[in-house]
Amino acid sequence: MKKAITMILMTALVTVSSHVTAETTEERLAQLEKEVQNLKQEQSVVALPEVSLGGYGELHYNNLSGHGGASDKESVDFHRFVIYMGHEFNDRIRFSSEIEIEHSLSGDGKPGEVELEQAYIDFDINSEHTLRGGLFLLPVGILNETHEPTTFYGVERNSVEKNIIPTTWWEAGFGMHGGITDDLLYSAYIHSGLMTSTGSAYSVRSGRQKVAKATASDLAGTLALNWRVPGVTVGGAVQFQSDISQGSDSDTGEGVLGEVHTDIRKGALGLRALYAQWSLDGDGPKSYGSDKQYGWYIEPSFRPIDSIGLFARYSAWDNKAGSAGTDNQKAQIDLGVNWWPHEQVVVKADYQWQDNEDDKEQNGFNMGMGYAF
Amino acid sequence: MTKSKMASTWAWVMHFKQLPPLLLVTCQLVVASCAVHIQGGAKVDVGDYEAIGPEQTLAVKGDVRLLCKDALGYEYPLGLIIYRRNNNTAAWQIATKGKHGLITSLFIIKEGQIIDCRVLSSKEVRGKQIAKKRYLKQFTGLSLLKPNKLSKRVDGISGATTSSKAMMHAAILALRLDGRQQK
Repeated sequence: MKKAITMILMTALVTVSSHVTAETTEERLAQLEKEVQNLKQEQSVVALPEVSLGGYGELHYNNLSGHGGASDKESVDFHRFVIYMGHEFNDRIRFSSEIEIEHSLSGDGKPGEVELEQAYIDFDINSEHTLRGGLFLLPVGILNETHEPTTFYGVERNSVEKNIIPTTWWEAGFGMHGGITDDLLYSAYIHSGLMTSTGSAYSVRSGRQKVAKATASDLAGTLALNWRVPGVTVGGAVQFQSDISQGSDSDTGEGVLGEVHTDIRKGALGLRALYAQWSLDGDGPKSYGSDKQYGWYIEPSFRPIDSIGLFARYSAWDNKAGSAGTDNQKAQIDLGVNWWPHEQVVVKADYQWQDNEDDKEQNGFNMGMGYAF
Repeated sequence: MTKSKMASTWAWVMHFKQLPPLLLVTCQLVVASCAVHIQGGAKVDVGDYEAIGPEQTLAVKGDVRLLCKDALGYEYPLGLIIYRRNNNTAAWQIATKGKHGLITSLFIIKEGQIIDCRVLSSKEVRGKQIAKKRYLKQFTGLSLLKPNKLSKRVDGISGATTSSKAMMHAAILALRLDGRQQK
């Protein structure tokens, strides 16, 4: 009897034990299967998933007739060839960079340049705020940070942002960017500044040092705020620099830039507008009328279908708008079309009329093509 | 540092007194915003979409691979697509290329229409707002007009064209994958 009971108990134990083992194996198999699937899902077909590559470029043809002493311009130019590379060190730290070849050929006596346009590291503090340090584009205007040819109308970038902001403008420094609320974005940086000189009549564009062994005795600060919701951006920026000649000219003082802009695209209709103004202290800028430099433009557009966009733009700007400056205001009307055969490729054509106070005008048409990826 | 240099630096700092109201208000708002977000953390709210059904996967090969390439314009960046299904409702987890790496988004689709969506992960710098409700709610109710065209235009985020387009492509792909399964 004892033997029989022992046999029954042992059989029961083995059965229970084998059942438990089988369940565990099944569970383990299911778990393994799930893990393999997750690994496959996570496995990127991209060779280096932590590396981002991109770029853009634009080829321009200008056919302009000069009037009132202005020169003709008939030229073809691969204006910009840019390679973007980024690297993600971890979930919170990223590197971004852009190298640009301007005008296709660089070197002594050649028309072009090789430029490091961006090289910075972003450190995420949390999902909404990021610290940035390095060489970066300043958050001023519409085009300065976003200027891929597929994103704007016209073969050439507009003259106001080029001559007044002055786009493309990068400096070295550090600061922070992010969102104060879901829709209100800020950027605040301390960075290197411009170095204008009497040789260029204190034009702000010629003051860009491009962070190339740049004099940094006087730093600058930029604060930008943008209210950005789908289809609508309204914003502005303020920048302050304590000496616009970096101490090299005793006749200069502080420089302050203020700008406001809007960028609207609702359905087929679009509108961009911007006003920017520099105030430069000191007798030097005042003597040329460069103590006030300003410009504005308005650009309505119509995109009846996704692949075609029509635009018109009126621009006015003056780099010597102070009391000592005379006959320096420039104005330009552009009419043109963008055709996107692919969303990352654009073909452009436009016609420009200038109406400058000094009567030196270049009128004619521009054609171009560009890409961004 | 010489006295004159110190004086010059102090003068430079003092120049910012021209900006204080704006700067002060911005700093206060940033600090307040930091506090709110640190408290809230960076965790993504994925809601109860997991209740739709058990996680399943779809291998990106054969006709699925071709469909992905047609919808996105490039090879799907991952080997499998995760989804959940319960009768006519499905949740599709889609990865698309942003400016700074992959954007992973989730589209919940019922009877060929998007009923909810959210961004699960993104490293976009200027395109952070694609993860905000105001942007995402534009996708609610959208279906496919043509294989690669949504039933209504979605307004993009200015300065974040790549991120906005990545989301539109993700929506199209999710709708097409759902349509393929429902056939």
